[in-house]
Amino acid sequence: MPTHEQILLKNMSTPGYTGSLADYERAGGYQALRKVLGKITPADVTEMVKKSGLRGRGGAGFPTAVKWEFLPKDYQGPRYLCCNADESEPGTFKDRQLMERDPHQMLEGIVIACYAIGAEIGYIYIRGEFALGTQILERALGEARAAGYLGTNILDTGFNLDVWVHRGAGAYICGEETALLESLEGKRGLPRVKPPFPATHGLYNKPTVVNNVETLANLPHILNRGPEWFASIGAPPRSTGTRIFCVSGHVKRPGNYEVPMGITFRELIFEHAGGMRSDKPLKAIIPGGASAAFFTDQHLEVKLDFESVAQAGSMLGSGGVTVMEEGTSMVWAALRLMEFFYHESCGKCTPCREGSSWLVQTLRRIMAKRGRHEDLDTLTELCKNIAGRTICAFGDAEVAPILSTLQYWRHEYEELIEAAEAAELITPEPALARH
Amino acid sequence: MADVAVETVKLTIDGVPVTALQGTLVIEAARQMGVMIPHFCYHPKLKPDANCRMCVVEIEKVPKLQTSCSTPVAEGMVVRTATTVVNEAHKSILEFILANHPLDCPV
Repeated sequence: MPTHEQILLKNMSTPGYTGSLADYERAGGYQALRKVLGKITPADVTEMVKKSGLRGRGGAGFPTAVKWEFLPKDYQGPRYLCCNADESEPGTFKDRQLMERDPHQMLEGIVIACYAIGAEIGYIYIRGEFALGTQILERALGEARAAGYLGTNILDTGFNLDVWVHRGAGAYICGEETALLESLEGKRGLPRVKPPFPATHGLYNKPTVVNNVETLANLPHILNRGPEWFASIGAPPRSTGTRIFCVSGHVKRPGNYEVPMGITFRELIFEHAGGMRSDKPLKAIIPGGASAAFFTDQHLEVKLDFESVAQAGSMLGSGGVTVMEEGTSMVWAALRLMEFFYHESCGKCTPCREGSSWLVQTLRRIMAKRGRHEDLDTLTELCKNIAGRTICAFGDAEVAPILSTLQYWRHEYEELIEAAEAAELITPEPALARH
Repeated sequence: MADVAVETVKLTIDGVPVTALQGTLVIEAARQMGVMIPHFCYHPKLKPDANCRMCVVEIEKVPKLQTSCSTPVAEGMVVRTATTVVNEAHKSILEFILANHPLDCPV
C-alpha cells in the first residue's frame, strides 16, 4: 500500500499520543505560533497562506487567504473568527477525529488565523452531538489558557485572544456559515441573504471569517515548514496539500485517510480502504458528501482534486467518499439522501421547504411501487425549480442525488414504476407523511 | 428637496431608464415606474426577508435570478421583470406554495 506522509493525522497515529498539551508540545506543537506572533506581520502570514494555496476543507474549497483578505482594511472595531466544527455532511467524520484526538493542532491554527485577521475573540461552533469533542476542546482550551497560548499578552507580544466553544443543537443547516452566525447570536439557525458576506457583515454584523476545522489545522504546518513545502504536495497549483478523505460504505476498511490531493478514487478506495467489503463490483461513489453528484464505476480514474472532480461533473466537497456495491438500489440511495435533506431543510425559503417535501413524497411513492410514469418528469422539473432559486446552497445540494441517479441509473426508476403499473395496486397508499 | 445629499442611481428596468435614490430596493424602483413585481413576504415597513422568492428578476451579468426585495439598485444595472425564465419561476414558486397550502384565503 502506498505510504504518503501524514501531516494532520501524524500525531494521533503515534502510539501513546493523548492529545494533551504536553504531548502536543513534545511533538513540536506551538512552534509555529512562537515563530509567528510578533515576528511575522499579520499581512505576511496571510501572504504565506496565500502562497501555500490552501483552500477551504469544509466543502466549498474557497482559497483561505483570499477569504481573509475580504475583511475591511481600515476598520477599527471587533473582528471575529468562527471555527466551523458543525461537521454534519453525511459521510464526513474527519473534523471529529481532528478535534477528539489532536485538539491543540486545530487550536494553534485558530490562534494563528485570529492573529492574521486581527480577531481578539474566536468561537468554535461545534455540533451539539459532539459531546465528547466539546469536553476535549474545553479541556484543551483550559490547558492553552494556563500555558499562556490564549488570554492577554500571549507570549509577551501584546496579542490578546480568547476562544470559546459554542454547542449547536442538531441542525445540519448550521454548518452554512450565515446560519451558523445566526445560531451563534442566539437566533434560529436560518441562513442570511448574501450579499452582504460575513467578511463585512458577520457575527453581530461585524467583520467575521468562518473557517473549517481541517483548514485551520493545516495552518501550523504551513507556517512551520513553509508555504512552498505545502504547495509542492498534492496537485499544485489549484489543489495543494493533503486532504483527509472519509471513506465509508461497502469497503473493507472505512475510515479517515490523509492523502495528497490528486490521487485517484481507485487508489483511495482499493488501496487505502481495502477495496469492496464483499468483493462485489463497485456500483456507485458519492465523491464529496451528500451534496455531491454520484459517480459510477467509470469514474474510478478521476483524480481527487477540486478541478478534476468538478470537471467530471461533481464536487470534491467535504471529502466524504461513500462507496456502494453492486446490488444497491440507487433509487433507495436517492430516497435516503432526500429524507435527510427533507428533515434538515430549515424551512425559510419556498423552493427548498416545499420542494424537498414534494421530492421526498414522490420518491417514497416510487420506492413503494406506487410510482407513475410522469413522476420522473416531475422530479426533474422540481429539481430545476429548486436549484439556483434558494437563499443558500442547500437547495442546490438537495437536488444533486436525484439528478445524478436519474442520469446514470434511470432504468432503476423506470423498473420500479413499471412494477407499480404491472401490479395495478389498488390497496391504500402507505403512510407518506411521516414527521 | 434640492438640498438632500443622497446620490441617485441610473438603471434600466424592462428597457426603461430609471433614476432612483441610492439604497432603493429594485422592487421599489420598479413600483415607482409602474411595474408591480409579484411578492408575498415583502412589505415596505419590514426588513426584507427574501424567503418567498416570488419577486425574483433577471439582472444582466448575474447568473442566478435575484430577489428584487433584497437587492438595492446599482449604477448601470439592467433589470428584466418579465422574461420567460422569470415567468416560469413565478409559476413554480406559486405552485410550491400551493402544494401544501389550502386555498381558503378568500374565505
